[in-house]
Amino acid sequence: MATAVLGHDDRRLVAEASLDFLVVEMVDLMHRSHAGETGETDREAAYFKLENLGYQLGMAMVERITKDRPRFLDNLDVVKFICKDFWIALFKKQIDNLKTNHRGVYVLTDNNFRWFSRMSGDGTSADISRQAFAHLAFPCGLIRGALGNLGVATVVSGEVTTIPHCTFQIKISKP
Amino acid sequence: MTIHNLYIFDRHCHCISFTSWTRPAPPKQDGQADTAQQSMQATGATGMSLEEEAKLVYGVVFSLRNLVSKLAAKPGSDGFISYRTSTYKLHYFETPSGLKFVMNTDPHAESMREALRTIYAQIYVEYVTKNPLMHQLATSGVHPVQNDLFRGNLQRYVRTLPGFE
Repeated sequence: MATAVLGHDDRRLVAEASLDFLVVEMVDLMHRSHAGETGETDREAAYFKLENLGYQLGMAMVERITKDRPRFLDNLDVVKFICKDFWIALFKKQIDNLKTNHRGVYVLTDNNFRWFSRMSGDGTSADISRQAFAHLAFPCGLIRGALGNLGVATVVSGEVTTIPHCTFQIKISKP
Repeated sequence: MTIHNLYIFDRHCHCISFTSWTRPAPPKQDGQADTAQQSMQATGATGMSLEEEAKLVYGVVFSLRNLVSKLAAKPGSDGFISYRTSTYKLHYFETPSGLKFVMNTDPHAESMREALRTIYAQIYVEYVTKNPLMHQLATSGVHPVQNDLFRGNLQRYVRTLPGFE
């Protein structure tokens, strides 16, 4: 999936569907393993674990992707890199919209988030948005890990209103 | 060529989906107690309850499949594919995972095998198996096939089939 960006020999391929299935099952597994005796899932703990998984993965991925790249100029440059190269390596498309208040808060908008493109249910879209929130933990962690390894300490939160449209909010932590 | 309806049965012989494109025959009795909202209380294509009708359809298909497999000489052949009567033609497609697609059309239809295969590969696999909310739908009692993307895409695809009206 990232071989084009990394410039490696892409004769060794992996089926993309297997990654999609793995990500879906990962979220389900976290919720199953945190289901308490009363049947109530400890959503906070599951979200925390998934986010940390994403953090580790984001850190590792960004090491590989920035291998041949020159240094970053400032935080905005780092965030722009996330929106372009990092997102292309992961999802084969760029972030559709980037907004900033120039004071350390960035809002990334993806109009067709790949992992949400097949998501649908039987109820109202509010229900589905609530259920989709758990699936945002991993991408948020990915972004936080990527930024962290590039030297920018942040807090990343995600929001989904209508599938497959979602936004990620990056807040740069004060040192 | 008219397509009447489509049944989907899962590996455990339950009818997980029924979509109809022609109006069902009027029910024989009026005033049926129809207060429940489950899909199993809904009427099938012939006006009897969907659960009853699905069982009958499944029984027919199951028996025919066994019959054909016992009569067929070649071990690698497809087995039962379709049958035709003077009023309708029934097409059958089974996946290796035990999912069964049964489609009824008018008697002059050509083979719908490719169409059924496309419904499985492009629509069922895409929007049901790859749905991240599949597990949550299953635990809340609804089969994952009851989702909007699947229904919408199925409708859109069937409308593009030749001769559909």
